[in-house]
Amino acid sequence: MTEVKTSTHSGTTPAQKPSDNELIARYLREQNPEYFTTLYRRYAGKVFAKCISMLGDEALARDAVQDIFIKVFLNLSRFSEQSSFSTWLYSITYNFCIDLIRKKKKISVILSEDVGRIGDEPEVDVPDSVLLEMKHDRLEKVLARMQEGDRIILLMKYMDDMSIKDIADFFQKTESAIKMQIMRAKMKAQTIYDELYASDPIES
Amino acid sequence: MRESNNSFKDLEALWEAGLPPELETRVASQATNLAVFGRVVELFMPDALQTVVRMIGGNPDAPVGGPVSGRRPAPEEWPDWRTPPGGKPGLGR
Repeated sequence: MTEVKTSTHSGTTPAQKPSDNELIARYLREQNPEYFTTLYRRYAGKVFAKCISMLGDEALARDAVQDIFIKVFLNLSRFSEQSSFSTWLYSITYNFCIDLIRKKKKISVILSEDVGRIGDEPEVDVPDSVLLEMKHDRLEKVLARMQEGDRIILLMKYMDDMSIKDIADFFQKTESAIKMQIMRAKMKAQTIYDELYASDPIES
Repeated sequence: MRESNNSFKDLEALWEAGLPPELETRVASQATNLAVFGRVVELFMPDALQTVVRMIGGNPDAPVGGPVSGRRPAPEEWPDWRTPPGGKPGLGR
């Protein structure tokens, strides 16, 4: 399929890329799936990365991307523009993957109910740099060994740069509970890293 | 791959690059089919969805097919099996 372009006055002027909201408005007006395909090209990679990171399986992630985009396609008329399209899309992605994990693992909640319990705070707050400066192949192995809730919360914070408030809103928890959960998740990541690479702690 | 100072972003870029290109064709064809199906439904059953919504639990005063056309019968044209106010017989047979 060809990329949808905006009309220009002269043929030589490079076409300006339409915004996400413009593409959605045009799709709803003209019902031309080309506009939707353009949105797919913009975001499919990010959605695929999120699905792999959460589901930990490439085949599952491929199917999830397809299902998520069809879900988005069917609900485009409900997109309210109160948030950006990417925020809406990522929220659908997170919810879809979390539902899939719940069904697969037969668990009802991703974050345990005792998140934020007083007196259970980690003693040490692992600096962000420990995770951010880890080699990506090692980080991938560490994340793969973490529990889903811990992994997702770290991805939201460090991969998607979501604010504590947005994460708290998503999980319907308090901000302090989310901060504590992130601290615990970082500590667990550090522990797993130490177990995996005790013999080779210095990254080369 | 260009290394950043955030290994999460590096990992994301690596995963993004692994997106299978054939997925676009699958999603695009599904979207096209759904759009065509929607148009066909709309052509043969205009306002199909709204009709179903009204039939299931919509406003009972609103007729499903829209407002009924034509004039309402005048009181003197009431059928004879109905007793008008005052108890006088109707104008029917």
